[in-house]
Amino acid sequence: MRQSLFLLGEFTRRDFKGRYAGSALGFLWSFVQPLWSLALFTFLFSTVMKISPGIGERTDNFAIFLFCGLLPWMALQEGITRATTAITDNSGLVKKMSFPSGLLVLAVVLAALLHEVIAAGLFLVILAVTGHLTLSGLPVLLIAIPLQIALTVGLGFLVASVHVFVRDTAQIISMLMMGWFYLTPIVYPMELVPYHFRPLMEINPLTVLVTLYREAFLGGGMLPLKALLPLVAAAAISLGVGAWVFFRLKPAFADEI
Amino acid sequence: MHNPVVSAHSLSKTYRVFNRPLDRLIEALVRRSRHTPFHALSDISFEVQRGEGLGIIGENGAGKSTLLKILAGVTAPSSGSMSVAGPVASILELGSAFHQEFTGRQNILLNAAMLGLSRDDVIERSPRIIEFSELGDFIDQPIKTYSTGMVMRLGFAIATQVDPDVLIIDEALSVGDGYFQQKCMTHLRKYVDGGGTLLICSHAMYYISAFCSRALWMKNGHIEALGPVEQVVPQYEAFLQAKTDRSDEKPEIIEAPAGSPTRLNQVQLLTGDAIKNGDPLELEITWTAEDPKAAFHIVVGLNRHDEVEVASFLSHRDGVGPWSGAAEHVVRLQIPSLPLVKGRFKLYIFLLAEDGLHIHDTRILEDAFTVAYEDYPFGVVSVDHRWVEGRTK
Repeated sequence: MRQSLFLLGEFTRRDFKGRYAGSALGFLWSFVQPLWSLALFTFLFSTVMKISPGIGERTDNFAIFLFCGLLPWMALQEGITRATTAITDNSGLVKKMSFPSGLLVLAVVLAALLHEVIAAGLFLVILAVTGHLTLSGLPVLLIAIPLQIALTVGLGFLVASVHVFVRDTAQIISMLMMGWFYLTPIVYPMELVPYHFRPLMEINPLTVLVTLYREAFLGGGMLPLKALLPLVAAAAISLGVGAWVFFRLKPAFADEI
Repeated sequence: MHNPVVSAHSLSKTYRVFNRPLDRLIEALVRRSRHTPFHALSDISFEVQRGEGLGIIGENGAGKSTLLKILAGVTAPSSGSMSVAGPVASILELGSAFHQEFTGRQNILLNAAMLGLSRDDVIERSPRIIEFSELGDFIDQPIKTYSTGMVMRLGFAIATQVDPDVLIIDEALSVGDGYFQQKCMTHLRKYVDGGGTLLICSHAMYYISAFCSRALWMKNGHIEALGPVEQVVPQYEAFLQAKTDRSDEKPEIIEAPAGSPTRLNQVQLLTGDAIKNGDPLELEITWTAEDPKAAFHIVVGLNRHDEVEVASFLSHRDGVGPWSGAAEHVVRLQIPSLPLVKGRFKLYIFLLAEDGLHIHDTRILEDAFTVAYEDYPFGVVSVDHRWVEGRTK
């Protein structure tokens, strides 16, 4: 167990540092990427398309509203996308060395989470500088982040193991992820969604996660259990199914890749 | 007898050949057959005791690597069971876990962790790993700047410091230059002498003989032979040689000339067909002469089984004979100490006329005898020699 944790740490480090190894800006890219997304989306959806968070949201500043949603989204997207190829990208390791290969999936999820933590730190600084900082909601993250990890790890296990056998998985996942992004109120507020679509939006676990983040950073509080349910259920089911499929398929990894 | 450290019981590995990758996924999930089987290993059972070296030999595709992968826990057997007691480290491929962008020093940590070292162990042993690899300042350069030899040196250096109970090595010894190979061999020798258990697969019989007391010869996924190195390795080499021979032309069979009145009766190797270097050899040759006036010489040719002429023994050159008289003649050729080192040998026996030219009869003893050896020598014969220091006076 201790050895696995050590190995997980090393894998995560390898993944985190390996991303920027050899690049001039290095670690600074962790800041540049979220800021770039933030600037682009703000220009597009706020300046051009005139979307404003407005009624029912805790802020009327679009950039701040957007950043709350982008934080969990970027971690989830990076985690799942990179988990898809976590086993196949490391075929040399999986075929030639004996180690718990599930750690490869956990490591990319953890690395994605680390990027999120950096972006969140940046976000807090921006909030403080612009005078929007409220710390009272932050404990909500203690619920949000474990659920987010469970969801990412579960889906990550699922797609990583399926991708070993069906290499179309990565393509399908990138399409699905794009769909998931736009079908979640991240770049627009729920207020703009037509009424009859809202129940569908509300059972989207990512909607719940994004809402939790907004509550956390914008001085809100815990959501009622009923509103939380889609996320809790999705996290539990994906973790269960993902782990089951992964460990079922794992013995055949070395033979297949 | 101690308890075996490694034991395998009827291990089999069947690779499933699928028409489509999707079939594999469906089969893995619902467990319904959608494949054509390929048997890479069938019914492999053996045990390895603590401190023993087992060499796994065989041709390409015989199943050696599959077996090592199963023992290393990389892949699962289709049936059968195996157990490995104590920490095991495997080097199935040197340097396979290296990250190209990271420096050698950074890679040591992850690689050693994967081989089972704890953080403290890695930190403690890093200096020794760096020293063993002899990479010098390169250790702080990214792996991508390394040559293949340097990558392998670092890989082996890490493996040397893992210090497992069981070490599994798959053909990884062609590391770097001759000097470094020597260093690796010395290390492995020390490891085995220090009570380490080694499973090694190699095509170089020299390594097998150097580290292993027993050898396991695999052929088409089966165990062809399992026993002491000095028995199994020569068997395997003979098999390889025979395979080469088969593609060569058949040696010309020397027919006894028609109309020769006198024939060899019996040719018998009194010393048996299994000999060691330095053993005596005695060959008994009998023939019956009917013509009292005829006189005979004997010539014996000693060839290696691949028809390399090794030695010849000619009675008329040695000043004995000719033998004459209408009687049964018995002549024995005695070699007090055979300098042959290893291999299978055949004997050609010629019954010659007095002039030493005309052949009355020929007898060929195919597979006349085999010379076995204990350690692994090079060459065909042992030669008397000595070593002297200093220049000639």
